[in-house]
Amino acid sequence: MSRRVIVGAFDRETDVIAATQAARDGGYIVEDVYTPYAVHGLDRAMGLKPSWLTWVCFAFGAFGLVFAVWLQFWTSTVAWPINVGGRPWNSLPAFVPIAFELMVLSAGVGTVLVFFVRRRLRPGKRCVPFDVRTTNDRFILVLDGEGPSDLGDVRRLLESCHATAVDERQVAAETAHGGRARATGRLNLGLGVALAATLAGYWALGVDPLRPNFEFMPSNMVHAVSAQAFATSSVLPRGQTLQDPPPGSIARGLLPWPYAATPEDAARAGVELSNPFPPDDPAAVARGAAVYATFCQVCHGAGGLGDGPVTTRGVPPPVSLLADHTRQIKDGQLFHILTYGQKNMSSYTAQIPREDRWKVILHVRQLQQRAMSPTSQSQVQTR
Amino acid sequence: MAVVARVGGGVACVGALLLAIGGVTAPDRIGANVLLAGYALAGLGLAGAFFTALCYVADATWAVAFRRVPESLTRVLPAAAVLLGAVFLAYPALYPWTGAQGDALVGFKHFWLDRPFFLIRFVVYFAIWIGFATALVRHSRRQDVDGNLTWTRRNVRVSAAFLVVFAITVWLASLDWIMSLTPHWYSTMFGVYNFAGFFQSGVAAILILVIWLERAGPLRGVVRTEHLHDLGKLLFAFSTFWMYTWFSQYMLIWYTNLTEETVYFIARMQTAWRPLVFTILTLNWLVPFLVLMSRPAKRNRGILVKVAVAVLVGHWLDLFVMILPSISPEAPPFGLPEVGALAVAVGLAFLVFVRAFRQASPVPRKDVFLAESLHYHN
Repeated sequence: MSRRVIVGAFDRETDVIAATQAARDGGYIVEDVYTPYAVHGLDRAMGLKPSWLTWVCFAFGAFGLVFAVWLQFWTSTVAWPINVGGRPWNSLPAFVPIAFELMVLSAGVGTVLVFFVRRRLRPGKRCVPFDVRTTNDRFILVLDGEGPSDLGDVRRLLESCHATAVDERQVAAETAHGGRARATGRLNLGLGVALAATLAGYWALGVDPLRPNFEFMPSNMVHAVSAQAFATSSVLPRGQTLQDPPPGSIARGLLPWPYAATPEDAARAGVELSNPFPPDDPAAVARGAAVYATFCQVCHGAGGLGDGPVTTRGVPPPVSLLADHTRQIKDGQLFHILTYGQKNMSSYTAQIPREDRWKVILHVRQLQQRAMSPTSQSQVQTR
Repeated sequence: MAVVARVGGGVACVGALLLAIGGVTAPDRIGANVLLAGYALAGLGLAGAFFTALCYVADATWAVAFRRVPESLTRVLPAAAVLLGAVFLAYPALYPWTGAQGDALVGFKHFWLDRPFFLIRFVVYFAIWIGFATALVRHSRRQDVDGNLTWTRRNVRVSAAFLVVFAITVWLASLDWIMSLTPHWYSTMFGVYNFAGFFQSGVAAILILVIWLERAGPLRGVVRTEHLHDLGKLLFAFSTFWMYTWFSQYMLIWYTNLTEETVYFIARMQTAWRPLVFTILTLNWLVPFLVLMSRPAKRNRGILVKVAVAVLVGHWLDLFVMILPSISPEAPPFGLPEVGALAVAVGLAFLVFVRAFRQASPVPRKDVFLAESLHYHN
């Protein structure tokens, strides 16, 4: 069983595009066009629908993206969380490069594979060119020859588009796919069996993905030798395992306190330091009052006059906090006194944390201010 | 077209007026806003020159039909030079290294960020750019007269040399003018990130101008859907490239987490500037990526113009977020200087472009590749 086709040969790609368009406009059926290379614009002239491979590409790309993000999320947060520089397990910016690459890989490879399967291409496939003239820079247009009654019209049409040769040919009615289909069927069956065997093997092994893998080659990269911090070292400088901190480094959370317990440094602290808490911070002032009541009131008295309860039991009374001399001591110097102590007063570093020492100074200032205003002055004196 | 030039000139004058008024009400923001306008215009001109040179070097014949558009864009460069020169001369305080901080810089940075040397480099960059752009445009226009193929050959050589010099000078200029606003911060991605923004916004500008010139007349019957389709592909590709460079810079800094590098992103992403950064990523990448992915969208003039406008707005905001946080760290400022700078840039761009475009034939009519550009298929 064979049928007739009309084959036109052209020398230039613009001619074959024009001839294809003209043949379609003339009501002929374009069977196919064979060209030595991909010709832009020919698909439109042939009236081909846009390829659905773009959607395959999109789907594979979307799959690659989602799969990569899920894989990284699952491995780094669920299955095997590893602390990298203290970052959260689920750190999206770190996933982006791999998600990007896997998306591209999946879209590219997936599209090519689907194209191969759809076109029944495979390694070692022998392709017979429809017309050998395509291997010599010719463009071949194939029209259905069963429909048109007058072949002279077709010939004239193609020749008006600069066809170099027009002839008729008999081709097999059905393109012979039989043998190829059987070979592809066997290949598909083999691949299916291989896939089923892989899945069955995976299931049979019962691998728990949440556990570390089987260690088939024990080495000291797996079991690293850890050095003791205070042991001697044969490789590190000065034979120490734990190296000295670099000069000027500070322990975590420690603020430097470059003042000695001398009157000169107390004066210097007064000049250099200022209270980090503003006097109008109600929370700080309230805390200062509480600290004062706990640690200071026993000697200095509730009003700061130096008349605390211990002074009546033999402890020499301290100077009044309301005296002009005390008033003029700067915040920084008061902080120095609280830190190191002065005369009979001992250091309060151990009892009062740094921030509370600043806050209690706020309270002392408030006591001094209250004593300055006339109404409260009378109250203090009557007490 | 003459109307557009006049309107452009008017808008630029209004912008200058707004800047002048803003100079009284918010004097500290004038320098940075003029820098923004000048830098954006320089990028537009450079994108035009780069596009032209790239087409010559790659024998890209498809773009010949509308080559006068990128050619005319290069004429924006002198205007950019005037704006930037005014900033560098009148507002040295914009750059912290001109003051006390400059003494704290050591080694090569101290040598490089030196005011006279900085100004010399500024002159050298613009001399190189304007020189090459002028040569390209002059050769192209001379071909209109005699149709001689030697002009094309000569422009291929000029373009090859320009592309090499372009890569180095654009990188250095972005470091000089923008990165040195925060002199202690550095990023090796900064130059290519800036280049990506320039070319992306340049393609968007070319798209808008080509579609407008087709509708307005000079390019009617010359520009075809195929040209716009290819420009759409370029816009799609370079939007993604811009995102790639943006993210490369961000991820390296995020991963390394070094104090001297993170300052840049902390100032932009942990302050009131944060919403602006996400707006930029949306306009410059997400919108073109999703909208222009399909083929019909790239062949639709209405969609192309809308996406191109989104990209240009995003590019302006991108430069805004590069420059302005160094003077207004707490929140994005908005007022007369910001509106004025935008008006000056847009008005000047249109004024200069239209005047340059009208100087020559709208199509390189004797270019040997013109026929190919008029008849190719995608």
